[in-house]
Amino acid sequence: MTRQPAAIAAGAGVVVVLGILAWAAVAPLPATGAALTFVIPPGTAARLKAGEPFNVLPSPIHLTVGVRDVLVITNDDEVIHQVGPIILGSRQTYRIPFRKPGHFKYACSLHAAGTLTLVIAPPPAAGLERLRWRLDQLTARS
Amino acid sequence: MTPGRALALIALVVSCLAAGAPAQPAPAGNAGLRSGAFDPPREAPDFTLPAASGAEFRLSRYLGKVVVLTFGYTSCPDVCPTVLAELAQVRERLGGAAKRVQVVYVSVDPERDNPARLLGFTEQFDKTFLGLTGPTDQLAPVWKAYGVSVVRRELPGSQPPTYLIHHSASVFLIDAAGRLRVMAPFGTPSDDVLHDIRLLLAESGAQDAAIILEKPWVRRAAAMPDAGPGAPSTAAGYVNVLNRGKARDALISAITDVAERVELHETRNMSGMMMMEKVSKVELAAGSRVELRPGSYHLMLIGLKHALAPGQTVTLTLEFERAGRITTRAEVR
Repeated sequence: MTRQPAAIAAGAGVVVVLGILAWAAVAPLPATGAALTFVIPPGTAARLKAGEPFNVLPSPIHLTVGVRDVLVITNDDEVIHQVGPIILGSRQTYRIPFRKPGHFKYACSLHAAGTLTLVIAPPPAAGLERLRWRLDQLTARS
Repeated sequence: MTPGRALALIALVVSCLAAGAPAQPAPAGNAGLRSGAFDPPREAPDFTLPAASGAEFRLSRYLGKVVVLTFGYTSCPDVCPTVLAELAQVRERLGGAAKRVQVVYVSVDPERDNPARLLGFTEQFDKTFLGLTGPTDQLAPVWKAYGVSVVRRELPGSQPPTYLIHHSASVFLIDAAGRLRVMAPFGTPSDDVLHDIRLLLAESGAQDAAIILEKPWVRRAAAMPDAGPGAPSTAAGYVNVLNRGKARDALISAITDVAERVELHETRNMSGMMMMEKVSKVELAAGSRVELRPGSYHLMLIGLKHALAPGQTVTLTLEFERAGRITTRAEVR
């Protein structure tokens, strides 16, 4: 009889954890995704002119619809830069949200390989995939 | 379960208990634009090209309208027809506001896109679309200014030999003040493009405004301030003012970024002598159109801060009794 409250508490704990896991697996994603921001630092043009092997941006750039689906590129250099099809004046920012998955390839002089690739992944589906994604998010933050 | 995963589960429990707060911060607003937006917006590169209709097109003459600019070619098998069909739908959905929007289609295939062919192509989608073509040496600087890549690819085995053009098919939105606001890459939902055009129209007040400013331009004085000390430092501003409202209004003052002050003047013929007089206001009856033009009402830009060069644009802000301040950009001639 004395062990009954402990068992009830443990059972309740299990129910709570299961409930939370169920929530994490099916709860809708945030209405607006977060931004992935890149900055073209001052002196980039000079470094490129000097022939330094210098990747300003990664390629491919990975985004996920509904999660991290806004690409922001800021040009902090003193001169105009072109990132794929985007011409950015000095101290200018280009911000683009993506609402559909896709795969885009652009010629880009800021990439050593000469190509900028954007990979827009679909949002994690409800169920195990979304649960795994939420756990990964928390792992990445901690 | 790894220790990391266990910790994550605990964190998940904690985050759940932190009741419903959004997991991601809302992105910083960019005037509410949904397609790819530039911040701060800069002046759209101006250009002049022959229009397929025979007239000359100059971008800066479309100040006051929202310009939807895109690039393509008439032999394009899929992308260009898709873009133009979507833009035709967007224009249709704009209803009456569509007349404040100009779609401009610049050819990337000067070899095949002669004016007649281009006109026939754009008219299939919307008769108001303006197709622009010309020699490569005129088109290429425009492609470059907007970051449009144009790569010719021969089609192997094609008889007669033919080619495709790989090109960026972004849609550029230029606001009524002539600033490049949006570059929407191919594939941007047309709902988003429509949303952004509406926003730019509303922002400029062009959609429902009672006062419409048309064809603003500035004439340099004959001698320029860079001619030396004592040279005249004035210029004249002209614009057509249309009062579409049901009430009278009046132009009461103006300012500009290039001069110390702006006065309202009227040129009068006094017994054969052309006299210029300062006026306190220019009356605008309901439904009237008043032209500020040489020999009549005009804006006198006094105390130019620097020399004005033909082709540059200056900002003019006109203040009305009822409509308040309206800004436009005027080309220097």
